[in-house]
Formats: sequence, structure tokens, C-alpha cells
Amino acid sequence: MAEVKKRSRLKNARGWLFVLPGLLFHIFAVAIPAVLSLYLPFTEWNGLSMPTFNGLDNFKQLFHDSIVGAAFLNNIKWALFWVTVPTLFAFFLAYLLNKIKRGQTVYQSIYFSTSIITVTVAGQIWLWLYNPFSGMNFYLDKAGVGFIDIPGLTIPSLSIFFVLIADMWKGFGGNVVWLLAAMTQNDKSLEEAAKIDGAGRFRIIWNIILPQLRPTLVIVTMLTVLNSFGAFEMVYVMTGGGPAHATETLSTYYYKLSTTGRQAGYGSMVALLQTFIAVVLIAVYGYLRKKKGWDV
Amino acid sequence: MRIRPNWRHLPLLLAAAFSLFPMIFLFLNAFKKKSEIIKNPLGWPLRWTTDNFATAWEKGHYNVAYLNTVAVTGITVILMCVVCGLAAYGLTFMKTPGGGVFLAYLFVTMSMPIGFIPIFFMTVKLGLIDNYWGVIIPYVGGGFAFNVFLLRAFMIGIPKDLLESATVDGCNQARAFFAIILPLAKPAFTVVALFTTLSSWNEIFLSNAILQSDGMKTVSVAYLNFTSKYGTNWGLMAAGGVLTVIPMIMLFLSMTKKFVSGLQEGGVKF
Repeated sequence: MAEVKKRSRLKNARGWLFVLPGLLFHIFAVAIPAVLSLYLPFTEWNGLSMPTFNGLDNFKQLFHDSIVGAAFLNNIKWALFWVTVPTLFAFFLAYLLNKIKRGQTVYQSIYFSTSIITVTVAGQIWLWLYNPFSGMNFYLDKAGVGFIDIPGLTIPSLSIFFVLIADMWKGFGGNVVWLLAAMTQNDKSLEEAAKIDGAGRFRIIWNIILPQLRPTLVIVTMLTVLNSFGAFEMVYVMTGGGPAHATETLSTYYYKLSTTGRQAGYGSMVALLQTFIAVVLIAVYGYLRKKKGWDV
Repeated sequence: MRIRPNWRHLPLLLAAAFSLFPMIFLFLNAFKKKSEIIKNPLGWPLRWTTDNFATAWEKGHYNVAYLNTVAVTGITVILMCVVCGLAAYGLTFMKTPGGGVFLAYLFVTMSMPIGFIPIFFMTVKLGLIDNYWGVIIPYVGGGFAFNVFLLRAFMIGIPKDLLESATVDGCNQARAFFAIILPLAKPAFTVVALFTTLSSWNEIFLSNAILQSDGMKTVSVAYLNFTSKYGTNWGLMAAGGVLTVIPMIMLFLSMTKKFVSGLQEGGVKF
């Protein structure tokens, strides 16, 4: 009996042979880097030589670095913008799409099509549109309303907002597709019943559609916030974090520190801060899901 | 019968214009002469020219960049489908001991931000800077968890009886995978292949740092250099932009439905 059991266990263990090739890639790309990311922050390392342990020096530097504060603030702005403007916009479009009979797929493909544009090209297009001498301002001047000036990236305090518009242009389509997919699974009869009872459009949205969408909205918001704290590509391509760190995010900062800045050890500490934020966010999400019964 | 226009199409069309306008603008400028763009930046070209494309192809070294991108993307996609498919099979149809714990572990790693600096460190130490494998390994390893879940979600729907009857007939596990599961799960593999193609073609975070020399750059990164070099010649840059995105646009246009339905399923299941 024991013999048979042992043999079947051996047979079952062959399943790992199927997992192994992928697991090797995973170990090199995720597992080892994850372990290293806990060690490198406590080293002095220029990105080329071997890292040497320097204790909490980088940790102290993190708290005296005003750029980290500015970058962190920009990540928060990024998250606040993304969970409001593009999400509401996507919800509005998905709501309308859910009501029309024809062309759903065409609209969805158009909205999503911007996501397939390489970010280096997408950023360049928006740089043109914001250009003070051409782009949109050129036509505002021509139309005789030259006093309306789209500042684009020229005013440092506003430039992050204009990078965000470009990023929204590139990324809102996926949200439309997801929200619509969730909406089509909603119970239609509830909506009908409410309509017969004389409920207005906004009441139906608030009391019937939104509660049913909550699991999807929670997930989409969660992913949006997580992505916001990793915001990198559009910023790097459009401004590189400038002017004078006005659009710096944690990711662009540690990317530059580790590649051209020759301070990879300290950069790792900044990256660790980012990971820490992600862990906190996931923990909060897990808590809400378990304790408050936010079913997903 | 009179067709009643639905008012809902108005905001939907405006949003569509918001999406399409910047892309149309890129395409139109690619066909204009440098002198024309200054006078007419956003409008229809008065005189069409294709000179920009030829110049951009040559000055941007697009032949090399294309070769690099196709190699990186091709190898990544094939490897991704093979290793994720095998793993998903092992975790769905075989009673792999510890499989449940492993899946939970994969799920946790999925939500963590990728460690760019450690990957960069390892690439330097393994001597993989300026080597295709320097980016392929992180691409495949990074997408592994997500794609295993995606494929597994599909494979769970395949009846187990099919496999059991095959194994009774003396078909081994590896053959069962290639002869039975692979054809049945083709829609899921297509989705994995499409999104992997898209993400590795467009990736700049790692490839910008790892594929450093001009001869190794992928198109997305090469375009970044191209724009900083020819920053004032807009016709040329628009043409370069078109060259960079055109393969993905073709792919998207030919498989639009697959992209949208893949996205929908991904959104519903996760």
C-alpha cells in the first residue's frame, strides 16, 4: 500500500517538470531581484563595481532628500488624478456604450487603440501639440483667441498635469473596456424595475449600477493607484522628470540615479520606498476585503 | 422608416475624436515637407511627400532596430507561450504537490512592482548588457505569473475526461499537452501571444537601460534617440514615429476583436 502511495506521489511530482522551465525564468527575473532589492538599498554602489555594505546611510539620506518628497507628492497627484478624471470619464463612456445597440466594439477598439502606441511616440505627439509655436496654440492664435494660451510644459508647477493628460489619452481605453464588460453582466431587470417605479437616471446609476459594479471599481481603482506609484514611462519620455524635478516621480528618480547618476545603492533605497508603499496599499486593500466584506 | 439618431453617439464620437486626432495628426505630418509643417502644423498636407520615410529609415537606422525588435519580441513570445503553457498544464491537469501554494505565491509576486535596479545589477554581473537575453529573461520571467493565471483560467474549462481517456490509451503527459490541450486552448494562447508582442515591442523601461549600443536598440528606444537628434525636423520625426508604431497598428487592425475580448476576459477574471 505504502509502495503504491509513494509511487503515485513520485508520479505527481512530475508535474513540477512542467512548471520548471517557467520557474527558472521567474527565479531570475522576479525572485532573486526581490531578495536583492532588500540588500542593495543598504549598500554604496555606483552601478558598475561590487556593492559595499554601508548600513543605514542611504536610509538617512532618503529623509534629507527634498527631491524624494517632491517625487512622492507627484506620485500622489498622479494617483488622485487617475482615480478621478480618467476613471469618471471611462465610467461615463462605458455607461453610454452599454445603452447603445450598435458600434460597441468599434468604439471600444478606438478608445483602446491609443494604448498600443509606443510611449516614446505618444509622448512626442503630445510634445508637438503642446508646443508654444505650433500645435494647439498656433490655431488658437489664428482663431483670434491668442490670449487663451495652453501652457503645456512651460510652467513647471502645471507641467505634471499636462503630462497626465497625455497619459490619460494613452491609458483610459482599457478602463472603458473593463467597466463595460462588468456592466453588461449587471442584472438588467433591476434597472427596468427601478425605471418603472419612476427612478431618475442618476438615482439608477447611484443605487443600482454602482453597487453592482463595486467589485470591478475597487479592483480598477486599486490597480490604478498601484500603477500611479510606479508612474514612469510618459514622464521619462516627455520631461525626463524636469524642469528642475517639477515632474519627477519616484520611478524616474531612481531610474536616473541608478543608470546615469551612478548612485545605484541610494536609488535602490528610493525603489524600496516605492515597494513599501505598494505593500501598504495591498495590505489596506486586503483588510478592506476581509474585514469590511468588500467582495471581489 | 426614419432613423432616429441616438444622442449618446455625440459624446462617444467626441471621445473617439480625442483618441484618434493625435494619431491622425502624426500620420498627416509624416507626409508633409519641413517647410509646410511650420505654416500648417495640424492640417491636411497640401503636397504629399514620402521623402520623410526614406530619410527617417536611413538616419534612424531602422533596419537594425527592426531586426533587434523582431528578434527580441519573437523569442519572448515563443518562450512565453511554451513555458507558461507547460506550467499552466502542470498546475491544472496534474496533481502537482504544492501546486496550490505555488499559485498563491505567484499571485502575490504579481502585484509587486518589478525590481528594476536588481535586474540591472544582475544583467551587469552576468555580462548580458547589450545582449538580447538581457531583456528576454526579465520579460518572460516578469510575465510568467500573469500568463499562467490567464491560461489556467481557460484550461480549467477543458473537461478532464478528455485527458483521462487519452492517458488510458497510452498517451503520455507531454503528448497530451501538445496533441490535446494546445489545440483546445488556442484562443487563450493567442491572447497571451498578442499582449506579449505588444508589451515587448513597446517596452522601454528595461530595454533603454540594457540594450545600450546603437546596434542593439529596439525601435521604441531608437525613436527616443532619433527625436533628440533631429528634434527640429518635424516631418522626419513624424515619419520615424509612424515607422515605430506601424507594425503594432497593423496587428491591432487585423485582430481588433481578439484584443478587445482578451482585455474583457482579463478584466473580468482578475
